[in-house]
Amino acid sequence: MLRLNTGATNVWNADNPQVFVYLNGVLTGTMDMNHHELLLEQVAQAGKQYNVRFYAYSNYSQKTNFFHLTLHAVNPLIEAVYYDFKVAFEVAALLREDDERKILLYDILTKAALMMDLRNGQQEVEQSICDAGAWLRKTLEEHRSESVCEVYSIGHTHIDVAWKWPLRQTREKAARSFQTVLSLMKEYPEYVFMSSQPQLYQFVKEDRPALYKQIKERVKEGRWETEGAMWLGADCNLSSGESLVRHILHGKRFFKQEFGCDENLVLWLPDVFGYSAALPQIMKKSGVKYFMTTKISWNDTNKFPYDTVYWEGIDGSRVLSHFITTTNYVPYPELSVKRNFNTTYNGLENASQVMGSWQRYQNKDISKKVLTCYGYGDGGGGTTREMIEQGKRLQNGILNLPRVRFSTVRKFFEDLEQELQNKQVPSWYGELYLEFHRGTYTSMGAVKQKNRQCEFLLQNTETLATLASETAEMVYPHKELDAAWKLLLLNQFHDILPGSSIEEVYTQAAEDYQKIERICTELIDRSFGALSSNLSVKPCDQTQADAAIVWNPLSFGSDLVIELDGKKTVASGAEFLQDTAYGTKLYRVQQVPAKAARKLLLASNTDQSSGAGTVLAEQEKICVETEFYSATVSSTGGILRLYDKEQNRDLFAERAPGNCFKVFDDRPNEYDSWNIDASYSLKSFATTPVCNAQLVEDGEYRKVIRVRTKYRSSTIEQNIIFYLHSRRIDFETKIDWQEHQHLLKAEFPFQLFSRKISADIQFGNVERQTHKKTSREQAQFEMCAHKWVDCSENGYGAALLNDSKYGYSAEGATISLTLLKSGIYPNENCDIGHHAFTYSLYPHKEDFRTGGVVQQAYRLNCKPITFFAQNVGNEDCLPSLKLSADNIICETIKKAESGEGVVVRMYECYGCQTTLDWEYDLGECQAFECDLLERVEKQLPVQDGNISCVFAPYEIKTFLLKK
Amino acid sequence: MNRTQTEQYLKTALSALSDLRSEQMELTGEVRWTPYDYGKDPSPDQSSKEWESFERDQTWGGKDLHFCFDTMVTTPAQAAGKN
Repeated sequence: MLRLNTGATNVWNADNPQVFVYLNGVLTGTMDMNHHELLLEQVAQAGKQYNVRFYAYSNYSQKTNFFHLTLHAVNPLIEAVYYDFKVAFEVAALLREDDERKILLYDILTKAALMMDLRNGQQEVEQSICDAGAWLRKTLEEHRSESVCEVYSIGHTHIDVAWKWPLRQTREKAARSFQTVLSLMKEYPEYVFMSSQPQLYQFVKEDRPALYKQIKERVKEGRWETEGAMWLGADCNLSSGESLVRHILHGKRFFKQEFGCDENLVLWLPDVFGYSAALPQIMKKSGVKYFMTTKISWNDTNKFPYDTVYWEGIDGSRVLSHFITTTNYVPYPELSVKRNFNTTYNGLENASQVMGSWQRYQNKDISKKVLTCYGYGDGGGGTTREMIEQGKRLQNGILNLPRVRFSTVRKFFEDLEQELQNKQVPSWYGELYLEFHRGTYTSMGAVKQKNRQCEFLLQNTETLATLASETAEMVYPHKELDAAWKLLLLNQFHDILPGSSIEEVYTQAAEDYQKIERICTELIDRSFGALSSNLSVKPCDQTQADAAIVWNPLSFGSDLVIELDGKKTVASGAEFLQDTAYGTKLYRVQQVPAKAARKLLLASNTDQSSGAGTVLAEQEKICVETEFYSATVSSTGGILRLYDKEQNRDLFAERAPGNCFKVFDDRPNEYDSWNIDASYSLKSFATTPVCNAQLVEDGEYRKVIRVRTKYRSSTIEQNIIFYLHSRRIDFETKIDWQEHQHLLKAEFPFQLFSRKISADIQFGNVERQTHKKTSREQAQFEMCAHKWVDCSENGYGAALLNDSKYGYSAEGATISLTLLKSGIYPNENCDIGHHAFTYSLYPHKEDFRTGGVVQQAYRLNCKPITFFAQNVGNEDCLPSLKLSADNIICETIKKAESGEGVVVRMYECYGCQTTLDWEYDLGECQAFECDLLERVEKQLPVQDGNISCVFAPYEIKTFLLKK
Repeated sequence: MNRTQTEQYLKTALSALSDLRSEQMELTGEVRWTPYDYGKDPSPDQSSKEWESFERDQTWGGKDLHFCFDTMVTTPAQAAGKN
């Protein structure tokens, strides 16, 4: 046996030296600080020679590693006794002083030790140790009584797909860790291992086909479990509903196709920073029955009260959830002053953690089974020989202590479900909010913005490609779309999208988003090209164009506003609105039906004069009148007054303006880019105006006020847009941010009587308390929302919409949108540089439902797509989507994964049962209702193209239309 | 023996057992090394790389770096039949 000592014994797993070992040119094993031994032969032959090559990786900034290699001859008989003795001793040492079992075990071990001749070099040594070992095993067996408590144990290695290392290193980490598993499996037939994240398998498949082949063999033998359901451990706060669906679609499909195994049933997300209340329904409708995490034990304020629970989503879907309880055993918990209640997915499979897993379990009344997964993660190489040897002894059982059971994860959940029958299992309604990494809703604004844009872009591309393949002669680009989706999903990994990776990861992510945009732009062009005959146009360069096709990506009919450069005007099909301050022209295309197109005829613009760059007025405060408001804006961008003419009330109090920038010193105690500490709000700084507020547009469509403010070396420029006939007010924002460790928020202290808000999440919305009575509410001082948050009293309210932000705080009726968080670890330049985004204020009658908040948020996020062409006829028809209810939103229209038929996915967004009549004119079709993985569940009647169905509150429905 | 003394005795026994598990043998081959990079398996007949002798107390490492180490191991006679 070879042993390698690099001197790195107390380095974080991600940074410890990690080594591939080649024996005579063949990849044979791996080494790292947890795996410093390599077995050359089971039975050594004298004189045998090995060429040993080590391909070593270092991620520790200092050059401090040694390379001390030694050769050892191992005596397996003595080693077996060593582990027998060690495990029994560790169990005894953990028990309380007054525990009779401790006294008994010490007595047995002392007798065994006395039987051994431990004088090194004596011939009698081996025999005496073996005799003592046999006696020890026999005696322990005699005193063993069957424990009803079982600790189901699975080998595991949690590998972050990117974090403190770039993706290219993840590929190596996965291969090294998987090689370690294969080596251990050769030695230990009882060893069972699971690894989720198909993305990692894909890397290994591409880089190391021989290793991948061996994995396939182990999977076939049932020793390697491919469970987990998602493509990778995706962030579940920020990823859109459709993205989460695709994670499961691609994840399940990969495991089934590659390994031929049964359908995945367990959503395995040990390390994700909070879990959306939309997930239970997504899981259930994707055939995922069980959920596992450990992260919720990282809460900094409240211990989550259950470890086995039915988790209930916004729509009432329930999934059986178990939270791993692995932690060290505490002999005297009554004396413990420890505040944290962490558990780990990097278990050690030792006596302390096996006993601790049971001790920490909070639902002993309903189940005697707990789950532990053991093995070092992130390059620590996973399970060690020591863990398996210990597990084997604990599997046999010691006295009446909890027993290890080597198992698969699925077997654990199936047995747990069985055991819970007829028991009163607790349930937990709503999101699993992680009271810890609250900064991850905001850190790395650029990646979050690209993610949001690409999510919508991909959906629009799919819809247009579907139209082109169903109504014209285009082959649906399954392969290109798959590739683009997988790049998006990759970058939704729970340390990439949340903003908690090193800078290099984001350089790669930016390239990936560009790739997605390139693929989608090309496919949209191709789709419009194919559809051109339906629209009586001929594709051409924009300069030659005499027509434009404007496509409405929304799932409801809407006026569309388009912006053309000054070289073209619209001759017919759209109404001229206004020249902008940038030299472009705005046009309104009236009432374009959902997912439909309208043709405009263009003419060359002979009048090239524009008011670009002209400042119409410049004052410390500027007043604006619209149909709805009398407003006053200060030179810092603060809305000093917003008087709602229709409602006859002010939205902001005097001296408490809306859109007030607040800068906070943000130095969390730990996890810089991840965390915001509650104390951040104790002290804030204001921005100062650079110049007077400027009126830069004053038309019949909109009035635009430009403000410029600064904070230290950073500048903020906003165009505040008041529409003359719309309630929405947009804040087009450009920031050059140069401050490290700061939070920037825009505060809106509404004069509304409300102690709760509604927040947009995937496929629906949730209510959150803003009056912080309980410690759970107090812990939610920063929250996550997607496109909007709304604060309403009876009859009136206001929403904040955004096109790329996710973090906000709310206290009473004051909502603050978190715009930037510029932490310095692990990326010292997080959020430094240029940002451009828009958020909007949308006061409305009634609540968010009647007020049309959902639709406004979609309008802000999902802009019309314009395609330039030459007109060759009068045809102007693309199928439109007709929905009879406002509260049913359709984001996804795509070709079925099977290639047969069109998939249409919708959801109910007001939380009320709704009967929907809908049609999508693709010609005569049969209609089916499917699950989220597009598996048909039932046929639906179609009458004159119309399909009728009933949505439960917040229900997601997937339809398949087949010609 | 009191409880503490018993624990001490058992710890000593465990430590002795740990030591007796294996016997260290002489490693005769010299270790050579060379900086390496992403993307290629180091094959044993790699001649394009310039190998340098790696001394026992030399150190290596750095951020996101690779190195190759190479040595020849010969199983000594006294290890025959063991792991």
